[in-house]
This record gives sequence, structure tokens and C-alpha cells, in this order.
Amino acid sequence: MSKNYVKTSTGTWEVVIGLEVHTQIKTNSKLFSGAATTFAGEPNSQVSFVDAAMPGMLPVPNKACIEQTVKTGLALNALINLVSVFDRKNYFYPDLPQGYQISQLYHPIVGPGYLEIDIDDTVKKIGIERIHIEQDAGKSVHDVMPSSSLIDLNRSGIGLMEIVTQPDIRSGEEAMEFIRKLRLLLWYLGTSDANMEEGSLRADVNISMHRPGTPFGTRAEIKNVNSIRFIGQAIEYEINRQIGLLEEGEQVVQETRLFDAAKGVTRSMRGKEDAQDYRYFPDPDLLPVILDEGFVQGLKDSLPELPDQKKKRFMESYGLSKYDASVIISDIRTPTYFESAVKNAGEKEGTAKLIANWVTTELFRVLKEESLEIDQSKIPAASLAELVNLIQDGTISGRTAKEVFLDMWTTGKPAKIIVEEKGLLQISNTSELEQLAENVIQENPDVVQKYKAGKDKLLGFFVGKMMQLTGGKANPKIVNEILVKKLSE
Amino acid sequence: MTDLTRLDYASIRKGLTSKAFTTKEVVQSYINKMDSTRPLNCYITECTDKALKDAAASDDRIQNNEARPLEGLPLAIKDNYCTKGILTTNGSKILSNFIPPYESTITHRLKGAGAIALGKTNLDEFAMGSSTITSYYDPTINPWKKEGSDRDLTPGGSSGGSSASVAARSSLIALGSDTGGSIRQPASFCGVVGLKPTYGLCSRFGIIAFASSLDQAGPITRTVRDSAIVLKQMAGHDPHDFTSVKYPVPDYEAALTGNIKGLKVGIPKEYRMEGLDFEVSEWWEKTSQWLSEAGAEIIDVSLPHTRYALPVYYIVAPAEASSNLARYDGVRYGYRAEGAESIEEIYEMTRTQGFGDEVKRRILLGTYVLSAGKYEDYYLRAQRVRQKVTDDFTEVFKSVDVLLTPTTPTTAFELGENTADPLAMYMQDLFTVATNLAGIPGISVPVTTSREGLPIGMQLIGPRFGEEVILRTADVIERVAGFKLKEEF
Amino acid sequence: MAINRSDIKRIEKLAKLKLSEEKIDDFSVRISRVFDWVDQLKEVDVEGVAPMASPLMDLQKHTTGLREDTVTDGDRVHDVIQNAPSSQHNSFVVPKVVE
Ligand SMILES: [Mg+2]
Ligand SMILES: [Zn+2]
Repeated sequence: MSKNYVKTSTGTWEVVIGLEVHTQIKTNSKLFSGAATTFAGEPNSQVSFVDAAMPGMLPVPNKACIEQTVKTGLALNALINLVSVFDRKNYFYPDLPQGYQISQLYHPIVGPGYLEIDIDDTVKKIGIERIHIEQDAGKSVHDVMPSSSLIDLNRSGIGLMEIVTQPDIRSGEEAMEFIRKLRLLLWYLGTSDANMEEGSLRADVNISMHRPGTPFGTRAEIKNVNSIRFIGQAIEYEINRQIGLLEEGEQVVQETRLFDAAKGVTRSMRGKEDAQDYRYFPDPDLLPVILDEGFVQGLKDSLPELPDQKKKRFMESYGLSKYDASVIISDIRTPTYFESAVKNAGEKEGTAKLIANWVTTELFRVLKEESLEIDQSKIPAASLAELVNLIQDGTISGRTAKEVFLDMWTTGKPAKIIVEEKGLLQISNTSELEQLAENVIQENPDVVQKYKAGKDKLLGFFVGKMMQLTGGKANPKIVNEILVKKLSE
Repeated sequence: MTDLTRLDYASIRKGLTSKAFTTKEVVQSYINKMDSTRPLNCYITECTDKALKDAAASDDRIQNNEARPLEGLPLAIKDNYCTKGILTTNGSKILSNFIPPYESTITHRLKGAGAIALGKTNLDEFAMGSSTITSYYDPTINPWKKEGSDRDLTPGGSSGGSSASVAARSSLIALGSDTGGSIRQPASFCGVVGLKPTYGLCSRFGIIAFASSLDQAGPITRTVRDSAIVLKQMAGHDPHDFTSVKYPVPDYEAALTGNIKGLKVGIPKEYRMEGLDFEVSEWWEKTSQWLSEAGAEIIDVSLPHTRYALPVYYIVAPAEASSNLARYDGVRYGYRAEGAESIEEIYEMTRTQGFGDEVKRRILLGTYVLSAGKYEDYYLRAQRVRQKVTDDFTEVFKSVDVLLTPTTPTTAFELGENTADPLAMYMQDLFTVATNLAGIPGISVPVTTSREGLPIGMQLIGPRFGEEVILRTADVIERVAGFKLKEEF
Repeated sequence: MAINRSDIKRIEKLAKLKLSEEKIDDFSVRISRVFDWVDQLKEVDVEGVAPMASPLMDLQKHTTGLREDTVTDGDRVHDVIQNAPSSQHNSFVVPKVVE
């Protein structure tokens, strides 16, 4: 039985989820005008007459919006439609200047594809139904004036991709993982900043409940959920709400709901009023977008290495564990840092693994403490490589290295300088250490006695003594070897 | 001195270059004519002060031998072309206070070529009509009257202000727009030349949209040569209009060779339909004889889907209009209803008060044919029949060079006639509308006056980008017909 | 095809405009006549004919084409809002919109 099933006193329920993800296409200018797409400009400063739907203004599509969407489609293993058509979706809203949104209903630019997500150590394919291009609306500001709303059209006409999944998602966790994975893919592609705080990625969640093995139930659509955590919360709330209704013998109403993040609940957005009738029809100002195979192939050839490919390569060529590889590829900058450090450190057995370890533990910890991104790291990749080299060639011990690392972070000095200045060089001189071991053994005859009587664990006592005497600088490996040898004499 | 308003532009241009008179004198005589013909209500806005200033600048240019192709041309502009800093109403209350901060491509080009704007001409509200009576600014009156009658006649529409001003000599050339016949029908009613170019030849940027896939800009002139001269400056690709075609603009004036020997002229039998005035039919026959005598071959042809053109038009045009006119919502520009307390009231009251009955009817009709359940049966079916209508033309132009038809079934009717029955008014577009559906060019040229003393026009239809051949043929008709505007105009 | 009052009320709502009460009946008669007339399109055999949305469907390659992604517009707040019936804070003002 699937762990996603929800069990109640009346039996088992399964949730069926489909997502419609709206994400801002990364471009300099808008979908149909030459106005900028920068975030948070002065009100109406990034607005052309086209964006304000002034009489007689006409849309001219931005080539980059087409390219970015095709690239995204290719990365989602999707069919690229060589002919796509912009339609008008007609409705009135104060921040929708044209009285219609230009979108693609009947012939979207990207057709079926899929995205693989890792869930409980297995790979699950989530089907992509389509991706279409559409315009964003403007923004209504309600909190500046007491009885009026202010309309700012800076966002009006910004290009969005709407990525629509098949109803393949079966839990809130899967939905959240899908968004995480998609966002990562978009970052790698550079086709969207997918920044939820700035509202450049938001999702509509379609959700229904049914008994396993029976047809899907009636779904509700939760609009515009704008954080991964909220998606999880909204789904959890909705599962309980719908089960509650169904178990009371009531119906789930097909409707649009909003997620109230403060209360953690969803509530109905449109009342009983008649369903919207958007009167879609092909935009007569825009001819069909016709792409040729060469154009698509060119974009395919230009795709960067994507997260799953990178993960596989890191595991295969650097011997990283699946976990380490996953952690390193889970944002766009870390792989660059990691690979730069590996390159600087040179090819040695275990170097890459050691670097991965340092990056995911020590480096991530200090970055997090200071809220820095890895490309703002106070220890450049080359310096980390040098530190790792010092550990590997036995110049310093791992324990010393942690101290050196922190010094590097605060002072910005290279590892070698810190090691020299602080006299942290590891003692690997065998005769020196042999002499020291001799002294320790002679000073503790009773412990030697017990060790020889079979208490092997007492080796640690001698190691500790030697470390104490050398201020921790003794090479622990050599110390071990010498002591074992001498104590068995 | 001769009345300068009696010269065509070809003669004005000669006179200006030879310094027989000045632009200022030309413009002043037009201003005088604007004053004396004001009861015809050709203009909504007059820009005479600016025109005189421009005239002075034009004279400077001529002095410096820097005359441009349309230097000193007294131009009237239909009030659906946006003109920077000049009120642009589109004949509607809803834009009764709208001053565009931008200029349409066509007016920009013509002004740049030396044309001088006299003012903005009256039209049916939003160019929807065939009589110029639906204008918020009262009807325009045709300078022609039936012999022995002083009853006011319509100049036709929607470019009625433009055609009446050219006939009444209160402008030399006027800009019109043609969605279903709105240049050719009023030109025919007023005894002047009206040309609707190939869809995509002239930019639509800055012309207030009625039905985007049908609208085309075109000139209304007193002679075919003037149409050829001004078209050359209007035509040509505009990067701001996605439906503007990259087509090398020929020298249309050079096409007026007077030679049509061997030209194949098609007479479509389907245009001999019920409702065609007997006298118009006679002159259609006579015109074809002229062409035959001039060496053309007259061929009977068939356009089997002609009768469906008008019903297709009355689905397609309102559908596009219902969406194009959604932007007039009282939020960003134009009229806003007083006393509206909510956004819904702003929409409904503004649009209810701001649009006239005919516009409302067409918006509702268009909304209906796009609405759920109707889209397939009406809109999509109409688009399919539109293709069949277009295919008829494609087929027929394999065997003929031009088609000759009447422009309108009747001569000008009285103001207030044909208003009770919408179909009667729609029949005005019977012969013109198919070319808009197919996107091909048509020109109306006056051939005579009827026994009642009203102008009769004939239409020449050409294949796509066939402007040269229809202008050449129209020029031949014009020479044979020797049609004259009334002396007293 | 007859179009009745309730059809008209429904499309009025979508189009955000109202005919005056007296005109509704008049309009319903007019529009019904138009539709009776338009219904002749059902005679036409359109089997296999693609809908024609624009006269340029086959000329796409000869039109403007796609725009290069450069910022060429904006920074004209005054021009954008100068025609507004009501504006403040460089924004268009409407009565409070409640979601
Ligand atoms: Mg959606
Ligand atoms: Zn969407």
C-alpha cells in the first residue's frame, strides 16, 4: 500500500494533485514591448504605451521569451511545437489593461514532457502536459490610500511561462519536491530566476481526493500559492477539508480557492456567481509563431549541463556519494565552487571527496552563519584547495585544519601562511616522535603493564599523551604506528 | 488667381516647386474652405493654427530647395489615427477627452514627407458604420444633394468626414480606414477616389483598432494619381506592427501608364445580386465596355462564396471588436462615469454611457459569438468560411488580373435611412467586405452621376499587393469617365 | 436563432455594459435577425478547412518578426498617466478593489 494513502476510519483516500506553475521568463524586456522587466521600479516607470493598452498600440513578441521557453521545454524532455498561437483570454480586471491577457490556449509552444523527482530514494516521473507563454498583469496596491487602490503597471506585460503538470502528484511532499526540482532546473537553464519572494514563481494547485482504484474526484484549484512551504501547507489543509466533506456525504465544489498563509487555511475565492467565460480566440494582432527545426536544434545544442547530469557526473568522475552530489548540485553556484577547488587541488586519490566534505560541512556552516552565498565566500575555492592539500600531504592534521579554516575565514590569509605563523606544522619526523614515544612509555610503566595484559584500548592514553606534548601537532597516523610497534616490543 | 482648392496634389506640387504659389496660400485657401463648409461637419477637430505654422516652415523648405515628396499637402486625418498632442476621439464619447502622447506611423510618415494636417475628420463611432451617423459628434453631411432636393444625404462611412471633406474641398487628401468598406463606400457616395490597400501594406500602429485582422489604412483623394502619390509614402514595413509586411514599395505613380492592353478583367457574376440598383448595374456594364475598348479582355468569372462574405464579416469583425474595445474601461484614459463607487460600477457605467448604441450592439454580438458553446458554431465556422472566400479570390486571380464590380449597391441615401433594420445598413458593405476578409486591395473610382445627380463609383479588386494594377486600371477609367465634382463645391 | 433576454443579460455581464431596458427587446429582435441571416454559413462545406485568423497566415516570414530583447521603452510615467481620469502617486486610481 502506498505510503501516500490517507487512512481514516472510513477507509483509504488518495490525493491527486496537478500544478500550474507560473514563472517569470528571464529577459531584459517584456513579452510584447521594449519596457524593462527589473524588479521593484518606481510605479509605472517600466511601462510602455503597449503595456498600458493605449489605443492603437500593437504587441510585437520578444524573441528571447520564445527561446527561453523552448529551452525550458527541451530540458523537460518535452515536445516543441513548431507552430504555436497566441490567444486572447478576455476578462476585466483593473490591473489587466487590455481587458484581455495574451496567452496560448489552443496551440501552446511546448507540448508533453516530464520531470524526474527523487522521492524516498526512488525516481518518480511527473508528466508535463504543456508549457505556454503569457503576459503577467499589473499590480493593485491597496494599502496606500484608505478607500482607493493604486494601479502600477510595471509588471504588466512581463513574459511568463505557465508550466502545467499532469495530475501525477500524490502528496504534498511530492508537490514541494517537484517545485524544488523545477526551480533548480530553471536556475541551471537561466530561463527564470524563479524567485518566489519577488513573485516571479507561483503555483496554482489543483487537488482532489478519491478512493484508490476509483475515478478521480472533483477538484478545487488553489490559486497563486507563492512559497514551497505554503504549497505543502495548502495541500495538507485541502486534503483534510475535502476528506471531511466527502466523509460527511457532501460534495467537493469545483471552485477557485485562495490560501491564507496567516491562518494556514484555504477559502473560496469566487462565490456562487456564474463561471468565468474567457472567450479565448486567436489574437489577430499576432500571427502564429513558426519555428524551424534548426532553431530548436540550436537551442538544444546550447543547453547547459542540467542538475541530474551533473549529479551523475560528480558521482562517477569524483566518486562522490549520492548524498554529497545531491547537496552540491542543489544550487547553481556550489558546483562551480566545488569544481574550481577540485581543479586547484589537483588529481589525487580522495581529494574531491575531501573537498566535497569541507564544502558541505564547514563552508556551508560559516556561510549560513553570515547569510552569505557561496560566491561571496571569504575563502576562495583555490584557498580551500590549498588547505585540503596541506591535510592530504600530512602538513597539518585534520583537527588543526579546522582551526586553520576558521582563521582563513576571519583573516583572509592563505592556509600556508597561517600554518607557518602559528607553527602548526604537523610533526611527522619519525625519529623525533620515536624519542617522544620512548619517554612516554618509560614514564608510565603501570599503564604499559595493563596494556600488555590485554587492555588494547589504553593505546589511546599514550596517543593522547603524545598529542599533549606536541600541542596536537603530531601526525596521528605515525604516532599510532610507532606506539603499537614499541609497546609490542 | 485660381482657387487653389481646385487643383489636385500633382498640380499643387508643380506649382509649389515652380513657386507659382506658396504653401501658406494653399493652406489658407483650404482653411477658408473649412470655414465655409463647416455645416457639413466634416471635422471633429481643426488644427488650423498649427497648419499655418507648418505651412510657413514648408515654404522655408521650398525656398531652400528641400521640398519633400508630399511638401505642402493639405491633409485631413480620420479621427481614429492617434496624433500626438491632438485630441483623438474615434467619434466616441469614451475617448472625448483623449490626447495621445504618441503619433500613428502613417501620420508620422506623411507629416515627415511634408503633409500638413488640417484637422481630424468625423467618422462612425469606432469606425463602425456606413453612414457617419453613429458619431458622438453628430453626422457628417454629404456635399452632394439629389437634383431638385435639399434633403441631407449621408456621405457614407465610416470615413464619411474624410470623403466629404475631399469632395467639398475642405481637404485635398484625407486618410481613411477600411474594415469592411469604410474607405471605398464613402468615396463612392461622395464622388471621390478611395483605396483600401493590401492587408499588411500600411502599418496599423497608432490607428485605433476596430477589427485587427481586417483594418487597413488608405487614402481618399480626388484623383487616382493622388492616391498613387500618397500611397507610396504610406506603404512600407513598420517594426511596431507584427502584421506589417516587408514588401518593397513600388513607384505607384509610375504604374499609371494609361496602357491596359491585354489586361484580363474579371466580372464576378455573383455580384449581380438582388438589391443592386439598376442604374449602378448599367454603369458597371458601361465601365467594362470602356475597359474593353481600351484593349482589356473582359472575362466572366465566379466567386462562389461571395454571398457568405457579409455574414462572415458580421461574426469576425464584432468578435475582434468586442475584445479590442475591452480596454475602454475608465481606468487609464478616456471618459470615466461620474458617481461610480466601485470598480464594477466604473466599468459598467463608463462603458454604458461612453459607447453609443451601434458600438454596444457590436460588442454584444461579438461577445456572444465568442462565448462558451458559440465559439465553434459561429466564430470558428466563420473563420473557415473566410478561408473559402479567400480561396475564391486566389483561384480567380490565376486567370484574371483585376476584378471589376460596383462599389456599393446604391447611391448615397438620406440621413436616417436604413437605421431601423441593421441588415439594410450592413448591405452597404456587400461588395467591399470580401476584400477585407481576403486581405486584398480594392479601389473605388467615380464614373458618373446618376439621373438623380448622385455619384456612382466602381470598384477594382486586385490580388495581394496588386495595388499597381488596380491603380493603373482605375486611372484608365478615370480618364474615360471624365467625372467632375460639382462646380459649386 | 432567437436570442432572448437572459442571453442578452449574460453577455451584457461579460461585456460590462448595459443596454437600456427599452432597448433590450429591440436589440433581441435585431440580433436574432442577424443570427438568422448568419445561420446560412451552416450551408458551407468547411470540412478540412483550417480557420483563417488573419490574411497573413501564409506570410509570417515576411512580417516584422520577433523583437530583439533590448530595453527600448519605459521611463515615461507622465505620458503613461497623463490621460488618467484619476491618478496619484504616479499610479492610476480606482475605488478600492477587494479580492
Ligand atoms: Mg492557471
Ligand atoms: Zn496562466
